Parts: sequence; structure tokens; C-alpha cells
Amino acid sequence: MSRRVSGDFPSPELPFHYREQPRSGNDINGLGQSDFSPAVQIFHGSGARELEWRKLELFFALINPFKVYWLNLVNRWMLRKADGAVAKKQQTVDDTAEMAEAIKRRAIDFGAGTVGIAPVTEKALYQGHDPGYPNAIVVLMPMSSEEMAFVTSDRAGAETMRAYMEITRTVIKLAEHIRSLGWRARAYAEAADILHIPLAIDAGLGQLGKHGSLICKEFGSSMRIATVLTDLPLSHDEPVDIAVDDLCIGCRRCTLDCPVDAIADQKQMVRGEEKWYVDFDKCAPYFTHTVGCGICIEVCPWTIPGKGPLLSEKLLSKR
Amino acid sequence: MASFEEEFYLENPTRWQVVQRDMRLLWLLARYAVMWLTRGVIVRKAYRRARLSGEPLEIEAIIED
Repeated sequence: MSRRVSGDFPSPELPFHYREQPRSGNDINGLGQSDFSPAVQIFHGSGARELEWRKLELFFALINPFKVYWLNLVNRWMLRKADGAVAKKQQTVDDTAEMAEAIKRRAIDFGAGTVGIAPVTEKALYQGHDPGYPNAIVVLMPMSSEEMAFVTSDRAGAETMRAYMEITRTVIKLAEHIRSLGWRARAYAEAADILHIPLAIDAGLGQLGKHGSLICKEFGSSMRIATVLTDLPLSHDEPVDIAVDDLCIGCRRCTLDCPVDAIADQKQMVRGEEKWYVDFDKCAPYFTHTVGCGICIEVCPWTIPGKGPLLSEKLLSKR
Repeated sequence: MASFEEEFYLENPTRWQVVQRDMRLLWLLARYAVMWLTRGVIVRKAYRRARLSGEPLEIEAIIED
């Protein structure tokens, strides 16, 4: 299956609109704001919280094909096991680096694509939600490049949900394992109280790309992220530089292919941090219209299977 | 309003708390399933009509608070 080409995507003319536009998602996200403040969730709130763009979220849910909608419900049912009983006898941890390696091996055994560990910082928490854990074990799960080549079709949507379910199973098993060692652990997958991307970056799993998603060497951006928060003492990984910016600064693949021009060519100030940012107000309605979009992550050169390590090596050698 | 995690994640729950939580979650998911099969039909029909006619659909006209 060859990759889709530019221009083969649904029209940016949307067959729906808000009568009264909700507050701009870019304002809520703190675009242009030079001071830090915690993130506020706008969309994909897993249905249990009132969000500013909740009507669009419900519309999105209801126009989903039944298979995707059903898998989402099954996933939520699985997530009831994300937390649970902590064993009374606590295993002592003398060597946090050794324990970190053991946990990573266990995560891979449970199906993770790759794993990293980071401290939980305030930039990874939504406003008013602090689950109170010091460590985050971040797991990445690749999606099938063959299926995701069909973005923006239902087929790609079903593959996204399959990857969500697989990663949900993985982090639930990992959290259960940690609790069996006598330490608190809670799995977070799909819509959640925490921001997975800042944690993944701090855990050395990749860097933020121009399209606002994580880019890792192994899978590009075609993967799902989930996290286990825990108080198990673990040594942390360091953020990595795989030369994402070196490519993103000059590459315009996602900016040109985004039908609604939501991706900017320059980094922007967002809640006190200069970073790549996607225009929420343009992206979210098109994301809804296409029931999940995913164009930017699939056209990204890093996402081509097997290309990431070579690309990183080549870009780093040019510095 | 509580998030999904605040609503359904339980640390060291009793068996009774687990049963209560599972019942509440099942009820929520059943409501979502029924919503897709009922209100969802209306939404998807209106959306299809809007796509075919070129007359954009007002979100508020079909999704109320």
C-alpha cells in the first residue's frame, strides 16, 4: 500500500458550524501567554466533565461509525481496572535504576512498543487535577502503517481504537504489577486527567513535532501514548534530542497537507513556553468532520516505517 | 464535574465499592450506547443531509446541553 498523497483528503468546507462560537480553544490553551499556567482541557474529556467545546465533542462521538464508538465504550469498561488494590507487603527498592530497568522490561513483555520514565511535573497536569504521584512510566504503542495510510477513513479510525485498546491493556497490566509490589500505581490511557506528551518528552521518548504531536525515532508520530503514574521509586530518563527541530523548521509537509492550515511554520508562545502549536479552532472542527483526521501524523517523514533512526542520525551529523 | 478518572478509578476499594463502581460505569456506557442508537441516528441523518445539500448544520440545533 503506497502512502496517500497531498490533495486526496476531504474538503476543508465543513458541513456544520456553531451558532454561537465557544470561547477560542487557542485562548484556553494559553496561546500568546508568556507566563506558565496549568493546561485546561477543551475536548476529548471522556464524557464525564463539562468542557468548553463539549457540543462538538458529543457531535464527534455520535457521527463516529458504530465499530469505533463501540470499541471506545469497551476501552472505557477496561479502564475500570486502571487502579485497584495495593499489596500490603511493600517490596523495598535499593536500586532505583535497576528497578526502572525491570519495570521497562515488564512493560515490553506486556506489549509496549517502547517505554520511558519521567518525574510528574506541573506542566503534565490539567488545572485542578493532581493525582499525587511522583513518577510517570510512559508507554508508546505503534499503529499499523498499512491501516493508518487510509486516514481519514473509518479504517484508520478503527486502527486507532485498536491501538488504544492494546495500550490500555498494557498499562493496566503494568499498574497491576506495580501494585502487586506494594506501591500505588494508576494507569492512564486515551482521554485522561494528565497530558501524556510532556511526560513522554521528559521520559526521553521523543520530541514535539511541528504538527503538535510527539515524534519518536522508532514510530514517528504514528503511535498512541499511555502512562502509569506511581510512587514506586524509579530513576528517570533524560529528554533526548533526535533532531526533530532540525527537520521541522524546514519541512512543510504537514503545514501544506493540513486542509485547514492549522499548523504554523514557526514556534509560538504557549503558557510560557516557545513551542510548536496547532491552531485548535481550525483543527478541532476538521478533526470532527473527518472523525479523527490524522493527516499530519501520517504525512510526517518521521512516520515512514524504519526511517526515523536514519533521519535522526543524518540530521545530527549535519550540525 | 468529576473527570472519568475521578469518577471511576478506585484505589484499594472494598468489594462493595467495586460492585457499585461497575454498576455506575455499566449504566453510563449503556446510556452512551443507547444515545448512539437513538439521538445519534438523528444527528447522523442531519449531518448527511447537510453534506448533501451544502446547507451547513448548526451544532446547537442538534446537540443541546
